[in-house]
Amino acid sequence: MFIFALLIFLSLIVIYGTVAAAILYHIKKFEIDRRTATHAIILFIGVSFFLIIAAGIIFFNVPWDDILPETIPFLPRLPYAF
Amino acid sequence: MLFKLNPTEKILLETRSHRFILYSSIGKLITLFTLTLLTFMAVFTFLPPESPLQNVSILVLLIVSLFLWEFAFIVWLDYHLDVWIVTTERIVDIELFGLFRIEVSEFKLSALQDVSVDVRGILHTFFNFGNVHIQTAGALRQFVFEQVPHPHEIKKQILDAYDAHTKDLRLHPHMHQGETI
Repeated sequence: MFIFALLIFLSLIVIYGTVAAAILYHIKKFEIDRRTATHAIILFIGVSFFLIIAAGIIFFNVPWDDILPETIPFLPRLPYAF
Repeated sequence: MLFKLNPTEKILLETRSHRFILYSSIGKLITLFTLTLLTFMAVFTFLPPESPLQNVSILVLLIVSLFLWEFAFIVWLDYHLDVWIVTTERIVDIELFGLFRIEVSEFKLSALQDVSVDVRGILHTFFNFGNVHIQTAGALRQFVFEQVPHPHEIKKQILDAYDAHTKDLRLHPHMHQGETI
């Protein structure tokens, strides 16, 4: 169950990362003035980094193996379906 | 730059939507975040102490915050990259749709036919912002400067630019190949 949760968490981070890359690309490419662009990039990366690290720490503190079978009853049986 | 200026061309006006539009979108996101926070606090209060679900609710709050933060930047980018530029020769409209589609349209000032201003609503009147509709000659589409500040002044600037351009066309027709008044 931990692997299942980890996959979902990583997928969310990958989606976030893709959009974040597009945002940074737009800030860099379209010549937003240097000062505004620098502030925006620092603010965006700084807060995102803090939130991702905090989410990562919390994620590894959750006992997924205990929670998921109780929360989603069909999950433990899912691997046997294949 | 998404468009190149000709050697003799100068930028007369560069405008974006009024900041009120940006702030109202950011306000909506802040409201959404506050609602998420309140829901989180309610869930957190009702969960038994030492419950592992407390950590899950914090995780959900962090992930929602992360995506709201990203969305705030998309809103800011959309505001910052939607630009209308009036030069001595043409009008350029640069618009960002989502993150992966950017549209740049332009027309020569000589094709300008009609400019009208549309200020609707209490806030629009109070903060002095609205739409400027620009009709071009022929079957070309209408250009709209959406929710720009000081629309009446922008209209005047466009008409002044048109007058100056047509005057220049009459005086130096060889410099504007293919353009007619």
